[in-house]
Amino acid sequence: MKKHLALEEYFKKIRGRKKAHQIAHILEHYISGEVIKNIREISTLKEDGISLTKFKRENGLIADIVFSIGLFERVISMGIFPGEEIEIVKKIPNGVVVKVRDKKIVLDKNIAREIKVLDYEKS
Amino acid sequence: MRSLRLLLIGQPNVGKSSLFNALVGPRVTVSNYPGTTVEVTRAKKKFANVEIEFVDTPGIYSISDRSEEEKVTEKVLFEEKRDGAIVLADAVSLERSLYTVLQILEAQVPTILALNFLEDAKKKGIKINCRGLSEILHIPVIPINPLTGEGLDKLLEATLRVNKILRRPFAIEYRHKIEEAVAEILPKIKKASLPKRFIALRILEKDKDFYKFLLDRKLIDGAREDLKGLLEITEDIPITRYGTASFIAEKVTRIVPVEEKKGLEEKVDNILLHRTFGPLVTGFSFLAIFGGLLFFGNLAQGFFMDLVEKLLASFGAAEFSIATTILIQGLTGLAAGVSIALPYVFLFYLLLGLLEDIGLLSRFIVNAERFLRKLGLPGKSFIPLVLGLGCTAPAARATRVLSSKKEQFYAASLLAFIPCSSRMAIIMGIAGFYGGIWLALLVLATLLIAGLVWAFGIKKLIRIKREPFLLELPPYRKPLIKNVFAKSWIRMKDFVYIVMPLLVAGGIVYGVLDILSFTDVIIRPLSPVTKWLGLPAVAAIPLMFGFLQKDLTGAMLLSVLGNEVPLVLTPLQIYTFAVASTIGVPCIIALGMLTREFGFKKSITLAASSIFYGILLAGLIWRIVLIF
Repeated sequence: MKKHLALEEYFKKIRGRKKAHQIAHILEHYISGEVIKNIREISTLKEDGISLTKFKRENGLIADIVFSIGLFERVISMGIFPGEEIEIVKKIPNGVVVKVRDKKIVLDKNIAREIKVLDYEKS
Repeated sequence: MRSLRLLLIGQPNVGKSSLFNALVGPRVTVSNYPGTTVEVTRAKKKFANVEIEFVDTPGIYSISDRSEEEKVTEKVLFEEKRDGAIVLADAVSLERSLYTVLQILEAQVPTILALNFLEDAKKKGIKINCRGLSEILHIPVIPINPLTGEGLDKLLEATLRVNKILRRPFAIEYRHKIEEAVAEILPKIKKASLPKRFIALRILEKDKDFYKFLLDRKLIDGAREDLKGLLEITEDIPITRYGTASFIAEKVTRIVPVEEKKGLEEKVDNILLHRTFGPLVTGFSFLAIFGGLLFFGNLAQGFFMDLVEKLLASFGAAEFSIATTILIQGLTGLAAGVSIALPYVFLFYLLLGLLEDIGLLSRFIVNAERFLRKLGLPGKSFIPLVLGLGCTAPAARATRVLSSKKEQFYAASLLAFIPCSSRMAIIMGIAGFYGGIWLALLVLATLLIAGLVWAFGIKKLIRIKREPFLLELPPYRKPLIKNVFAKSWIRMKDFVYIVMPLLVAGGIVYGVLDILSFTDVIIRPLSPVTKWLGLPAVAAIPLMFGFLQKDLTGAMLLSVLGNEVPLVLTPLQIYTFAVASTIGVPCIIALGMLTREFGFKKSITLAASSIFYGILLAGLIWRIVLIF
């Protein structure tokens, strides 16, 4: 039941209130608890994300992406998506190397600045 | 015979070209799609009495209007006749691949999903339920391994049934506001070969390439205005698409956590992406490559030149006529092309392909970007600039990967300072051979400094929008040699089909002009130039005619000076000659390629100004050194 509510919250944002209940019901049995936990965290803590350039820890949770349009889709389609775990592999002079879903990606500072990350303990 | 055409689509680094090669074998035709150098490869295969044509498209993350790769893939996908698409997915990051799949499905293209890297996923504790995935998406899902050939027959069988695949098997339903906006736009869209819903979504996503599908030109301008208020839904479309992709991926994936240890990749990356060691390793790698190439190039050059001399001797060169001279000059031109450029260019492009497929090149690009951005160039300009170390002509064409014409022209102008194999032969063969290695290095340093001064000058003159730098670093992999050859061949093609014949032609033209004593005619009008450079008047011949056939510059210099370079020229003169003949658009072939890319006016301006700059600089240095 907890699962169901968290999903409903999320989909209210994405798809409007009417369908939220129905969709949450359909999807809930095939979404892992982890994703739901992540989704809940984004929906409640969205404002508290720290910019990736200022983020000091090794692991984080992507909270939000504030972006110009064209690049937004590129970033999303590379798997940099709210709710995903992000590992800061290495800070390099021209940006930061991150790992999302086991894929290594180099982001320059301008892009990294617009990705907001939350503290996250890898369980 | 029945025939089918299938597109191979996938994100970068999902092993698309390996699958392509595994499917069709070595019979590949490469076609640069009109308008870009981003390659589209095609090949046919007969299977069960059906002729299947596979079209390998450049890797894309999504269908949007960001990169040249995406534009080409979009063109092939939407403008060519095709029966369906095979989308190759990466089992390690299924949700990402599913994003592409969902977008292709929105375009209602019959799709087969081929799943690669299942073994890699297994090692990471990821197990994927292919049948479950197929049941959710209602399209065939086939696990494959291009390296072992596993699953390929099943994939081929599935392609035979492509006509039976549902056109709209799975559709994302977006949230209310988006669906309302879609409904509002639908009646304003022209009848097109693409589904209207797909077009509507692209328009809502502000993909300008799709505005042309709107019925009314006024609507197009209106759309730009109206859409400003729709920022939120513009972003929500990809978010929902990715969210759906990741929900589906979660549903069919089971993860057993595996203890992850810091492997070799992390250790290598720690060095390659290190603040100081990274650029050092990058620089030394290319130095080592060039050291090796010069060595092998010399061997090859000796071998081919001997061969040609023997061949010419067998003709009996004593018999002097216009025909034999043309033949001799043509052959010498060919020999120069084959001996200096072919081993050098081909081996270099081969090594470059190897670095790329191992995964090292992307790390090198990261290091190079730090310096390129100071010049106002994006990281991806590294490839055309490095290709320039092979041959300027294909490099000029390769600048098309850059996103604006301005950027392309700027990058192309820097090729004037990047010594191609023929110019390297002048630097090593003339400056290095007669003046010693230090003189050769001095010439190279001069090119570098002159190029940097030029670049900073241009950067001040034109304003270039800074490109964001976003690059995936693929895991290190053992390269598939077949792939590497295919890739270098694509880069070589211009050289073999355009540059080589023109090298021969240049040799012949020079021969004819020489017989007609035309070459002497230019000595006098060019005497101010040679005087400015502090060179004997006859040096005008190699300087001028080097533009026809750069590989012959050295030989021409030897012939006008009577094979006694060190007796006639001081080391300083050798230096000015080398600088003056290597800075600038190197030859008529490169000029031709530039003209094709940027038009005659721009190219001739670039050629004239860069050559003038080189001559001015060489003469200035000569004067300054003489004062001391």
